[in-house]
Amino acid sequence: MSVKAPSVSKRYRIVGLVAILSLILAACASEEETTTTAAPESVEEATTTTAAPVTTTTEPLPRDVTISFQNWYFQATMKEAYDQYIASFLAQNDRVIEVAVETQPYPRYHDVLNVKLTANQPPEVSWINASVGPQYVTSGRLVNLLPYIEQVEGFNLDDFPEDALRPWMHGDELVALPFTNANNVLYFNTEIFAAAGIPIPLELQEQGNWTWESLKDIAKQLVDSGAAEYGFYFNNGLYTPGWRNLIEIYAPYGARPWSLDGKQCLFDSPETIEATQLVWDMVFVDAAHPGPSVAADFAAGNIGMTLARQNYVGRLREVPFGWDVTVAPDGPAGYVPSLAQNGIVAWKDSENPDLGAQFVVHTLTPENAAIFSINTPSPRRSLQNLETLTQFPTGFTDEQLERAVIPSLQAESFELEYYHPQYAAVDREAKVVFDRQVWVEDANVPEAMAAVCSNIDPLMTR
Amino acid sequence: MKLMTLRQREAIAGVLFVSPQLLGFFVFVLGPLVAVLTFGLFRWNIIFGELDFIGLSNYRQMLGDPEVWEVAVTTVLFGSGFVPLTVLGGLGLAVALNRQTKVSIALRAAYFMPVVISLAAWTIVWRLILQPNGPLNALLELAGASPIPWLRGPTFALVSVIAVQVLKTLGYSMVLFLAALQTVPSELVEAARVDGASPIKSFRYVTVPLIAPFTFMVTVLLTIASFKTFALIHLLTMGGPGIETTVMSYYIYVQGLQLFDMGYASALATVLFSAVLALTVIQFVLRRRWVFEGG
Repeated sequence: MSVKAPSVSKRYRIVGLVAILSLILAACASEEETTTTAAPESVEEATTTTAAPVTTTTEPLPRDVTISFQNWYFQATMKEAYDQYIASFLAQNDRVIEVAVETQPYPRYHDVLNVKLTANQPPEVSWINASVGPQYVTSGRLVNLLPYIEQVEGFNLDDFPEDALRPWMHGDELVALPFTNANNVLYFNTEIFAAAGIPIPLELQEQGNWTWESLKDIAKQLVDSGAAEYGFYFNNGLYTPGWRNLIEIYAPYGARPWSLDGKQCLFDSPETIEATQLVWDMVFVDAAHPGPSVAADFAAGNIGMTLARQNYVGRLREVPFGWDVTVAPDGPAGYVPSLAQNGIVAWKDSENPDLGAQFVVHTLTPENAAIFSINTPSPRRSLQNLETLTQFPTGFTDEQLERAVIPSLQAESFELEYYHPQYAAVDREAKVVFDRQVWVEDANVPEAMAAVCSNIDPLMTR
Repeated sequence: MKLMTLRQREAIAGVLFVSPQLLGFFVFVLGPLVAVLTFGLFRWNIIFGELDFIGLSNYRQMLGDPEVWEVAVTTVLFGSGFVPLTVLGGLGLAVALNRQTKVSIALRAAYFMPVVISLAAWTIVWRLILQPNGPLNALLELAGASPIPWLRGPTFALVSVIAVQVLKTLGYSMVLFLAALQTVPSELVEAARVDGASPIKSFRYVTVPLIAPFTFMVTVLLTIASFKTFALIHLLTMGGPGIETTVMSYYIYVQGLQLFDMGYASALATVLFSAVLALTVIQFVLRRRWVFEGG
């Protein structure tokens, strides 16, 4: 029996048919998924369709909602605080069965969040870094928290300073709440100072001479004496993540990278140049600060002083040397501390934006914000006092808290971490020039700062 | 009803057998590829969720962006250093260790070890080694030389990145060449020796042509790998200082996920894909000229 082979065109038709069927199946699958996870268009719609208190459904809604919460740190005391928030939230909410926490390491935190936004599947709740905050604030994708705050008795929004809320306002809407108030403390190694025979910063402070100039001088003396490998170290990172941590010296120098409205570059202002020059001299002339790409840590015991976050004290619990703390030095503009206030937000495109918003507000009630003070001081004015901070084992003595921590929280003038609507692009452009023209041995700082402005000027006016 | 012929039934069975793979190809390879090609025609800010059709504007922007050209040159320089060094280094190691002694076997294992070590761990260790006050500079100072800014100098940073990647991949190339050398008939090499050929000449005129298909395959694979290098750059230099070590795949990440311009990133990815495809096709065309296929 002879068998006739199908013609080439017939074979192609068969292959084509299978391929088309496969594509249709794939398309159907994705459409189904999109339908089931489609987010409400607005907060109002979400409230109407899913929120238990205002729904028109006669039967009670089942307790079957899981809220996803993305953050970049969830350990020890931070986890304890959130565990308490979650437990109390579940107790008072009859819809939510679980708050699923997803922790991503900070270096890739916003990448992961952005991928979820691209896929239109953000978590219900997430943290947002203060610097990049405005990009998300202006996106129109964050839930306005004001209606939810109004529903919580005793929340007292006025307790948050207006300056602290300004970065998180979008028109009349408040789309995030600041949950950290990260301040810097100057730590110094008392043994290194004793070995070098140099007065400690507290003595300079008593003499009214605790300035960035005097810090630079004693940092050099510590190195020259052989008592320290480095005299001073910007612990938050001068090269990576980069220039933005110069805020610690820019603020007391009255310097800024750009105007408050974000429309004018100020890197080339005399104040900014003077402050940058002082740091550059410390690195490249005095060799008193670690140079680019050098790994350093005050906890290693070979650095005289460091300016680091308050919670850095955790690294010093078991170090084999003596240390003490004081406030950051003054500049020509006096004592102006820098504060980093990260935000917590609820996403409109998530499956349960209203429940997400309720959880966000719940974490910042006066009682819950107080619990968080063990990690970082609260942005709430009423909690920025010794009484609140001493309720928790912060790692400092009461005297140290009063001397080094409280002043930064109660300072009349402070600088919030820099933010800009084009922050990512501005940061990158500035970093390229800093890498190439500032953090090099033959730098001409004024020219380099002018170059930074030429690079970022087009972004200032957008 | 007309019954299907045996050939028809076999064709259907064949298609059904490959259809799961075909489905995977359509969904996970062709689908994303088409999506990237399409998104390259849009302005897509992923934060705002705005998607505006802008035709070829992303490509026009690319042509007028000096940074893109700088990144393209860095990508080519990276590949030009990484591919030849890994091919020649791997071949050299394979030839040197192509004997069954205990020392050779131990050395093969040692050279292959970086391949199985996690890239993150490998890179972090090298970041420490290459620090200004790291062990490599300490050795230089012991030898009386000045320390070198391995990860900060514009030239040194790229050289360091290439070196770290070569050392990570050398073992992989070596193993492929060791396998290739096993396929060279010993009688041919012996015949060349009997005819008076020196070891170098017998290697050049007998071994090299016989392993040419393997050399070709290793070169193609490493070329493609060089264009895809991302994690090493991210962990070692983050593309810096400045953008001195920013290769195209890292630049695509920066544009898409750090600057949120997914449309532009897609256009860049399309160009990178086309460049890799073109280079691979050229390599296959040139294969006929320099690869000895036997017979």
